[in-house]
Amino acid sequence: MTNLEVQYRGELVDGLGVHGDMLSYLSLPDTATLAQTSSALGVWAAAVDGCVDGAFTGVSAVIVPPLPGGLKSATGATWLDSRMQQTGIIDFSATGTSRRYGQALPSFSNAAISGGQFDISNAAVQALISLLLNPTGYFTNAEKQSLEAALDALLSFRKRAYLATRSYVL
Amino acid sequence: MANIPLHFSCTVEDGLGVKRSTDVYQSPPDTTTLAQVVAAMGTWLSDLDASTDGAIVADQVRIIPALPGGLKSATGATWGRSRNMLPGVLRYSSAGTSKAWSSVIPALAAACIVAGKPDVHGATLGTYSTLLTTGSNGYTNPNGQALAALESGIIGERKSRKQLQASSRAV
Repeated sequence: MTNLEVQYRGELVDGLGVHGDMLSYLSLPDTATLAQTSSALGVWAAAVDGCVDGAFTGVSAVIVPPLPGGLKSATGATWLDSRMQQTGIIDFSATGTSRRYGQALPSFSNAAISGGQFDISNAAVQALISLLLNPTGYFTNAEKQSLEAALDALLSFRKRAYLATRSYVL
Repeated sequence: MANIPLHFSCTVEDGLGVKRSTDVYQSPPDTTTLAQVVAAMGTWLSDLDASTDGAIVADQVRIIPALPGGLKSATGATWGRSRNMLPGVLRYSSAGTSKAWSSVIPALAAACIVAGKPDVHGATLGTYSTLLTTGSNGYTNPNGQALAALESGIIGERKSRKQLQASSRAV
């Protein structure tokens, strides 16, 4: 059993429509369930609610766990060549909507590009798609609708020009 | 058994030092433990790591349950008079440090103010402080040090100029 650092956040609105945030910090055992965490968050919100004249518009609990082992580090030739602007996007269908959900992959790997196009057959891409579509993974779009199938993919570019110019030696 | 919405996000850094975030959403059953949630995010990060040449440098999980019942709504005279710019600031000691940490309560209730000061010994603020300082509840400062005791309280002022200018006042 490990303890995790957790933040409880509450969003409040006052009588003038001005929004504010409320934060508390906790250390919770990782054996706690989502139900227990949500329940404890509710107890906190109720205690805060008694102290404020503003009204809650939302609550959330934020966990910042350590990064898992085995991820690549910010070193090496391949990483040095990587570019955030090069973004892969995989489009998914979702249950209960005709609208697609696009999953963005920043600094998309050159190894997953073939003939100048997004190579959806690439093994790493297929592993990610399988993960997102696995029913026991419970992955959804932003509206909590389960992902159904990968429809297509494209290679796009999202500029971060103001950040890129910082890194050049003039 | 209900499902609880989760938001996984991470920051990716490329070879020029440019950072960008990406995210996914989950809705697992509420019987899932936090350890399982962290493990699931680790699996997503590993698969994402293989698809990007950037390095993942930070991660975060946000649990977004529905608002619990029984909280006040944004209606009525008391709420209409509330002001987020007048927060209560309660100062707590923490284990293992001489530095205090303050909990900021926006729009402090008028009923919690006596003689122009936060009524830290009153029932309402007392209940809140008991919640934060009871060890088994796990509350800490931002450095993970358990909160020990309430030391003092003041009424602060935090301006939100842009929001106030945008709010609907007839001129």
